[in-house]
Amino acid sequence: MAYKLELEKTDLTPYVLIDEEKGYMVFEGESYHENVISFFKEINEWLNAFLKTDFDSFTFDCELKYFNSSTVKVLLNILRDMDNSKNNKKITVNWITGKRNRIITECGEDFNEDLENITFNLIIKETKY
Amino acid sequence: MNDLFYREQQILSNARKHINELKNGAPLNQELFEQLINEYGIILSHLQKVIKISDKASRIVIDERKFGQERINKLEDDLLLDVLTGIYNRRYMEKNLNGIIKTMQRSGGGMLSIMMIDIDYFKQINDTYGHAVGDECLRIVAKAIEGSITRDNDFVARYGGEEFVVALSNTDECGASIIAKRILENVRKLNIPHEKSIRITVSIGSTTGDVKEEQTITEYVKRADDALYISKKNGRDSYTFLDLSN
Repeated sequence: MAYKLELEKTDLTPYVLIDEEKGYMVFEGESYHENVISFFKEINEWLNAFLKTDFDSFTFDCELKYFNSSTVKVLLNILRDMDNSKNNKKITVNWITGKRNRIITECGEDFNEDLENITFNLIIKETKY
Repeated sequence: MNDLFYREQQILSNARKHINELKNGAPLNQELFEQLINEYGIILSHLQKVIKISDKASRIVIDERKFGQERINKLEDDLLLDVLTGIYNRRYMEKNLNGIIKTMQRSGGGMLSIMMIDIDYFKQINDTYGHAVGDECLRIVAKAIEGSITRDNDFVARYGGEEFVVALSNTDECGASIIAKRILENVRKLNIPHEKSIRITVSIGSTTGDVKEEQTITEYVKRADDALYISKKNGRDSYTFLDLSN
């Protein structure tokens, strides 16, 4: 059965939606959890298994407003695993930030420097934050 | 470095505190908020670079481990030693044996005995108890064989896998058989530190020839290996001798 996960956002953790059938993953909100690695553990495990399968396409929308450095490590692992996976050409990452959010924009640009295979779109929205 | 992570924690906790105050009706401290966000941006950007560098470094370490074995192999060749067991390696055996044969030939010939020794059921030990126990088994068997040889010119080398070669110069069939029995006994006494008692035995094949006959090392090893095969077939933990020339 296709994996499906939906987690409501909290003050410290983002909204997460994973729909394996549709090939879709979303992180939205903020990520400051002190034990962020444990928060993302299940997601990472699923993703690692999923990346080995012959999926048709996969889109990851990352719309985090702010996050801590532990989240940087988690995101780095996720993006690198995607970039190194056998189906990397079928993966699109949409790094969505607000116009005034230079921090997260630069963070996305910095990640993109090391990505060679996946499609990485930096989408800057006209928002007030 | 740790200072950066510490400062990150401080900023986040200050920001959280201020957000909670706002929720409770306190006025927005715009200046404080902007200051926190600016510093947070600088710190996060630094930390991201640090995280990326340390991630790359850890990947290099993993690659190093992978390719490290190739370097160990090269080093072993250079040192003529087997790193795992600490005894001589096959290259030393071949190099040194040629020298021994030439020296014996120059001084009028003599009997050379070569023994092939193989640890019984080694694969099963490895599969049942793991590679660490397997490695320990190789180490203690190597030491036991080494301890069974007392003369300076004689030596033991790891031939490969769980096989060892013993070279005994100026030793005839009778002398070789005494050493072989000593090795069988010394190995039987071995004890691997493990919760279950692991019985270790070896099988030995031996050959003896006169170096005047100008046989090659390969022929000695081949004949000793044939003898070893017979020991294995005869139920292991035993010694078989085959004459080199027959």
